Amino acid sequence: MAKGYLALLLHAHLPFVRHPENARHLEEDWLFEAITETYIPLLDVFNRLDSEGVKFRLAMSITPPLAEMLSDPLLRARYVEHLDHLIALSEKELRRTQFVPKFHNLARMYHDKFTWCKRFFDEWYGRDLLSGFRHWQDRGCLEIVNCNATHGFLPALKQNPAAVRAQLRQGVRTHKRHFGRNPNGIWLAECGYYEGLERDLSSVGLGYFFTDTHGILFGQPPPRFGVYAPTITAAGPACFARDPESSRAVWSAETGYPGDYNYREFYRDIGFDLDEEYLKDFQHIPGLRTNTGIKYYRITGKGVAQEPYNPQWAFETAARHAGDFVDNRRKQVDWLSRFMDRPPLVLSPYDAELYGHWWYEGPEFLYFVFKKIHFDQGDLETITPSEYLERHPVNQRQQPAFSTWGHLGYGEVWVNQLNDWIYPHLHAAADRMVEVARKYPDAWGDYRRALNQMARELYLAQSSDWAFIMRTGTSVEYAVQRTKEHLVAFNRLYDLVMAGTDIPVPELEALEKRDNIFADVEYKDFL
Amino acid sequence: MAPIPASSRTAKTDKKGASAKAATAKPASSKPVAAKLPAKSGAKPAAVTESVRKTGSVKSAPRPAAAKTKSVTAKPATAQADQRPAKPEAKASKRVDRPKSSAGVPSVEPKAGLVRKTPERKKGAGRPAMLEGELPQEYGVDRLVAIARDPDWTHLYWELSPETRQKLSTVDGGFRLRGFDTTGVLFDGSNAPVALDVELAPYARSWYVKLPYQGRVYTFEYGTVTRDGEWRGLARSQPVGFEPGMLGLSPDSEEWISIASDELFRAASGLGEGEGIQDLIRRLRERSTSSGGFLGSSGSGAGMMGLAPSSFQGSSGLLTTLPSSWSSSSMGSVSHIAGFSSEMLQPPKEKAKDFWLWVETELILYGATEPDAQVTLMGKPLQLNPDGTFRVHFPFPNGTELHMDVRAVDKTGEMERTARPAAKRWTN
Repeated sequence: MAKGYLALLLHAHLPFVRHPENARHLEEDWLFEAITETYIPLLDVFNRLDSEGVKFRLAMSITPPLAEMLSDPLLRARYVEHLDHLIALSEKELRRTQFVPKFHNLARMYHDKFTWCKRFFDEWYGRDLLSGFRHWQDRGCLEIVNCNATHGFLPALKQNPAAVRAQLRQGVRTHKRHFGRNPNGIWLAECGYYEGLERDLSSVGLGYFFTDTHGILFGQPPPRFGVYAPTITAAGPACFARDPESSRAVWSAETGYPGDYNYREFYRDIGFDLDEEYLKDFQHIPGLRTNTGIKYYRITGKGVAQEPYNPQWAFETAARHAGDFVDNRRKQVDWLSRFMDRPPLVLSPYDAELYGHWWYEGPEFLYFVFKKIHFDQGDLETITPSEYLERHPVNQRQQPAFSTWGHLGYGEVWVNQLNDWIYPHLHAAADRMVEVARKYPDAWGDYRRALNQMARELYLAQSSDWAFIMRTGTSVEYAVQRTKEHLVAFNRLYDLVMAGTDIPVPELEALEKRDNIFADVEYKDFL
Repeated sequence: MAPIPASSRTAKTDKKGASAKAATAKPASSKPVAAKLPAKSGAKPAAVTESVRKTGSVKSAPRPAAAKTKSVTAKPATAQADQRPAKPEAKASKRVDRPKSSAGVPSVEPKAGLVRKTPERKKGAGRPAMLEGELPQEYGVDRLVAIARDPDWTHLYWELSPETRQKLSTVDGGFRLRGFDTTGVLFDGSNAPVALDVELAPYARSWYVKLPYQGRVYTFEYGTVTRDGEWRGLARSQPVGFEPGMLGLSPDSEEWISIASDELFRAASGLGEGEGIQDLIRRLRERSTSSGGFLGSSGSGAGMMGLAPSSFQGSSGLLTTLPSSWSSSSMGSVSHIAGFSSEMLQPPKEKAKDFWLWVETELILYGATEPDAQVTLMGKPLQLNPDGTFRVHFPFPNGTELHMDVRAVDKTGEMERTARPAAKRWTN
């Protein structure tokens, strides 16, 4: 038996962005870039590992909005169009760079990648990437973890307990629809946990959740095994907490792997480097510069001219970093096991989009990590949270502490002077939702549709992403617009429903068609 | 009136605005190469935020002598960043909505190139009508809502219904927030000691309040003191704070002392030899983010931010679009953007320690001929624009030598023109 476990968790999430009213919509690119750079490469890594006989285990939280987008026919079709644009652009790049081999080879790399992505997505997976993740789930390699409906930041929604429960119920329902089974555990949006939330988790059948390191460290009583074993709450669900050491190895801006000079530079994109005239066919709106994903430089160093990217060096570096990561986890569990009566569990959660999108070589790094763990050593074993709990069901009782994985460790990112104006509206809407649900506990016909659409609009407004964006200062206008428009639509329906008047069906239909998340939404979740 | 997406009015910086038009050599860096290391540039403002908070923070009170009243008057003009009124709502949303010119983002914009308008983004024609409108200013109810921002700070906002406001016309005292220590109490308005009393600015609609103690539960009321000196609560919050043992686990069980292994605790918290839980708490408070601390080294809100193309409109993106994890400390640098407390949160006027320069070159060949001519460049056919112009943008790294033989043949194949410009790039 291994001396210790490594539980990797990739949190895959994007807010629900879908704009049928525009032929091309800038923010839909978030999804398309993540598909090309993260989701397809991850599936490819799983495929390769399996074909090489590597046993691997990991967990991913694929959030309900992301799952809904990945299964949406419009967005799927638009992704293929997006790839066509990229393929055309990379063909242009092949011509442009034909006299400079270093760049020409990179242009070919991108051209090959985009055409391969199109085959992967369109032909091999029939545009259904979720089926790929389901496959690895059913094979037992991947545990897909739930997330609350629209990634609402629950510590700021708890003023209305029914709204929190509805987020959880809808999240579980959507998960089941996409992945064919009830989730065992949940990644709470932003790792946002507060004391007592476990009771609601238990009520929807969720058996475990995750917190940041201090969720368990500051819990009561103090944890016997630190964050290297889960604890069990009084209400039943188990709590896993993040290992800081392995997090830092990847996340840290100063010492983390992704900053290595051989890796691809994220910030040099031809979408900003070349003339507008040249790019005009690719741009959504003439003159609006965007990332294309074609990036020719490596990080190179600090204060020096950037040099062309060298894929060979980059992948060798990823292999070296994977070796370092595995060595350090082995040393870590070796040391930790001296203090424990069971194999220590190192939980390493990351944003999935870090791998591939930000850190271009990240998927290769994961590939090497799993390979080295499988072939090169016997101390460390990868494991999913559910497997761990099956093997080690007895754990210490504890009340974990309020915590998030955001900057400063609590709610400051989502509750500050840049975004706190949203809460009076979000809370009023949640109260109103409960009010109308109680007034019409058995609605049917147009009223039922209106009430269900109100629930959708509320869920969409509750996404933590909007508050996050307002705080970070990029795409703020979009986040403000999204927050407002969902609440405006919600209030309009509320007024109609409360007045007991007829619902203008064409208007309602237009809304249903656009904000079509959660086909199985159920307003009674707010009762 | 429909809210126009502010993006359509936003002036943003195009980092290549100058070079695209001008010439073959790019200006030395329109963005710092140190981009991958945002922590350094961002760390300072974060520290300033913190020190502002500290110097302005409310004096800590003694242990909860239960009945003791702590009177705190936070003065927004001088107090710390957090314990100040949020602006009235209308202003607040206006502030967020305001187009951010480069002047609004002082710390990161100036290095970039020309400031230029972002192209207009139009709303799609098929946009549902129900999305159009404005949010209400208020909801016509009496309410006071408390959101725990962290174990120390609570955000409170409130609203009074028109009816309640009418009844208040003769009130003498200003509005206050009063916090009661309701630990272990089912609060009825009078059975708990007052722990905190905050005098509010006249038009404040929300406030950040520091709780006196962790491990206690507080319930707030928004109200006034009547002419007779009596407290008149107009709206009451839900309890905030957490009392150990509330959920059925005793913190005073024997496990309290005996089970915590110092070694494991240190391992998990990144503490050094001889440091204990107090040091961990201190570190949390100090919010050390760049090297030793484990908090803030985490992700949040997803790398999706980086997927936002609009974030790359200028070099400002460098600091604000990293996955939140990497930009943990650069968060501090954006906290002063909104202009609500710019004096308080100015970044320190410290010169950059590491001066740097890099220069790169690219080369543009362009020209024109008859639109129906056949043109080759270095033997390969070149596609002409409909007006007969052509333009080729070469990568031109050090050591490159280009002989750009251009040959044009007219449509009859009878006339021919050639040009043979050459360029060599070296660095002395």
